[in-house]
Formats: sequence, structure tokens, C-alpha cells
Amino acid sequence: MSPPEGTQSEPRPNSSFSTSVPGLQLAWDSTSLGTFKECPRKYKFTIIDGWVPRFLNVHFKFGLVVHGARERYEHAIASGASYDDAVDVALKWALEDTWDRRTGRPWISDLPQKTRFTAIRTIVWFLDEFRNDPLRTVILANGKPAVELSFRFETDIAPLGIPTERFLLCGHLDRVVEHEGSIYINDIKTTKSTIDSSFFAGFSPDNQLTLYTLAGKVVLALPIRGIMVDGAQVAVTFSRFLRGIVPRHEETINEWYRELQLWLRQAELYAHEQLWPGNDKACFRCQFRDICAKPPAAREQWLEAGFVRRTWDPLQARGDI
Amino acid sequence: MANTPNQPPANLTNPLAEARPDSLARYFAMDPLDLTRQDRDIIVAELRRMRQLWTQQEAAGATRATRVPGAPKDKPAKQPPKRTMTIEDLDL
Repeated sequence: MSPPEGTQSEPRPNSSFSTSVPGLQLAWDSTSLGTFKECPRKYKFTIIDGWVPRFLNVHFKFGLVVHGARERYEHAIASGASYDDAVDVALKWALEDTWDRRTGRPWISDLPQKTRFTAIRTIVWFLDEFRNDPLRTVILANGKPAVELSFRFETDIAPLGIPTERFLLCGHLDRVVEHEGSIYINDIKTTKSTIDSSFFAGFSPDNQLTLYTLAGKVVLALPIRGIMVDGAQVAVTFSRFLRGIVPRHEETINEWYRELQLWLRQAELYAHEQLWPGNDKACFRCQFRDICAKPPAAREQWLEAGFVRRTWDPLQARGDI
Repeated sequence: MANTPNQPPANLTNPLAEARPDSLARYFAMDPLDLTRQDRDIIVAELRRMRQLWTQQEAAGATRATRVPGAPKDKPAKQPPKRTMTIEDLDL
């Protein structure tokens, strides 16, 4: 049986990892760093070994579709397309991206709130909601809009065992916007839940948004004030939107960066030991819970039975269209 | 009021008419490469009509901003009723 789309039978070499120290990741993004912080063993399973559930996580797929559609819309607008033409570009892409060309069928979701239909509905309703958006997309020097912007920068943190190397931070900024003279990172977050103040409060602290704010300052040399989060509540029969500001103070970012050094030291230690301990206080809703419940010698066969491999390489840029 | 493939939806006379997600089912079942710009315009128009209906219902208070039901919480199984043993249970 062929592996599902986007996965492979054997793990491909991952360019984000050291060639001299097996298991030592040098280029980190928010996904790999966040997973490591959550549980080193989970990080080993999903980032180093590349195991993912056999069926693509619905939330991940849904988010990719919504983000991708908005990206296409922004590029069309920046290219001079009319609003309706830009919406059509986004819609066309989303319809095609949620069609399984191998089977000739639409993407099927088992979550009634996050389906192909609700994704398309959310996209069209979202674009209409923010048609006259007070946030202006920053246009880069090359004339392209600052959407799905891939970034990569070198830190001043070197692995203790490889002093000539430097750890890198990578990722993709959803959208960089200007509002009333200030610059923000604008990010869409979809949820099944009602969006209220606690929704936005949940993003402080947050590994991904702090990294994005730091990246915006370093890579774009812009005074990023914080993140403008566009919350999208997706229900079976409606999509509702609310925008909120998630600030990031300079001290918070500096603290995050100082602590990053310690996290990376841990990653280096585990790589040298070839042992990534499990955080047994973080097992709630973990997709590897049943795996960790098995004796260590039996885990590999259970992983092969229930998971497929894909390579998560932060150095592989995406969305640069 | 059926949507025909070559015509956009007619204006509704009853704004509180039920949304008809099945009206888009045909388009969502098609290979998207076979959809024309006109087909997609129909999809957009229908989605906008749904939004208009929902917005009107929201404004009328028919739909409160209630919490979307999440996954049912795990509850401990109900304990079976305690049975007191009697002398008859001993089959003496």
C-alpha cells in the first residue's frame, strides 16, 4: 500500500540536522522547538524519526488550507487583481488543494467543524469580513507582499561540541502588516471554540508567536510591536471572526532568547547521549501515548503499524511564490 | 428555488429561509479542475447568501454566541447499585 500523500516509506536525509552528531538539530523552527519543549521523546518520534499519524491531522490540514488561500489572495491583490478576482484565485487554489488527485475524491474529514466545506466557507467569509482591512500588508523591496514569508537567521549560539557551527532559527511569517504607524505580524488561528479574551490570552506566553516577533525584528529590521491574531471560530453552520493584539515586550523576547540557549544545550546533550527522555506529565492527548505505554523494545513495530514517515525539515522553504 | 448551473442564485424574498448547503454539493463533488469561473462565482454567491442569513439570525438573537459543543468529557462509569447479600445467596 502506498504511503499517504506527503509521506514516504523511508525517512529522507534532513538538512536541518548535523552531519557529525546524529540527532542534533541545527536549524529549528517553532514546530520542532515547541515539540522539543513539550516532550523530548515526542520530538524524537516526530521530528528526528519523522513519524506522524497515518491520517494527516485535521487541524493541521485545515490550517494549511486557510493560510494558503489567504496567501494566494494577498499575492493576487499585490499583483493588481480586483477583489473578486483575488477571491477567485484563493477559492480555486483551496478547492484544488482539498481534492485528492490520487483517489479522485475530495479531502474527507471526520471532524464536522473542520471539513472541506467549512474551510472554503471560512475562506470566503474571512476575506469578505476583512475586505476593507485597516491592516496594510507590508510590501517588500522586491515588490512582493510580506505574506508566508520564509525566514532563516543564524543565532549566536553554538553547539558546545561544534564551536564552528551556529544554531539557526527558521520559519514562515504569515503576514507582516502596518497599522497606525506600527508593524505587526498578522496570523490566522482557527478554532472550534468561542473566541473571547481568554482565547487571545492563551497566546502569552507562546513559543511560536515569540519566535515570530523575534524573527520579524531580526530579519526585517522592523520594530515589531507584536502579533495581530485573527481568530476564526469554525462551527458546523457558521464561521465567526475576531481580531486581537498579542503584545510582545522586548524583555519577554530577550528572556525567551536567553532560555533558548538552555533548551538547545539540552537538545545537544540528548543527541550525545542518544536518549531523549519522555515528559510523562505531557501525555494528555499525545498521539504517541499508546506507543510510550509499550515497552521500549516493542515501540518500533507499533510505530510502523500505526504511523507513517515524513521529513520535517525547517530549512525547506515553502510559500515563496 | 433551485440554482441552475448557468444562472446565479435569484434574490431571496424570505431572508430567513434555510441555508441550503446541498445546493453546493454538486460543485463540491466535482473535480475542481472541471469547475469554471462561473461555477466558482456561484459557490461564492451561495456562501455569501449563507453568511447574510446567519448575520441576520445573529442580529435577531436567534443564534446566540454559544460555545460550540466540544468533545464529550470523559465521565466515570456509573457504579452498579450495591446489592446486599442475603442468606438465600448462599444456597444452603
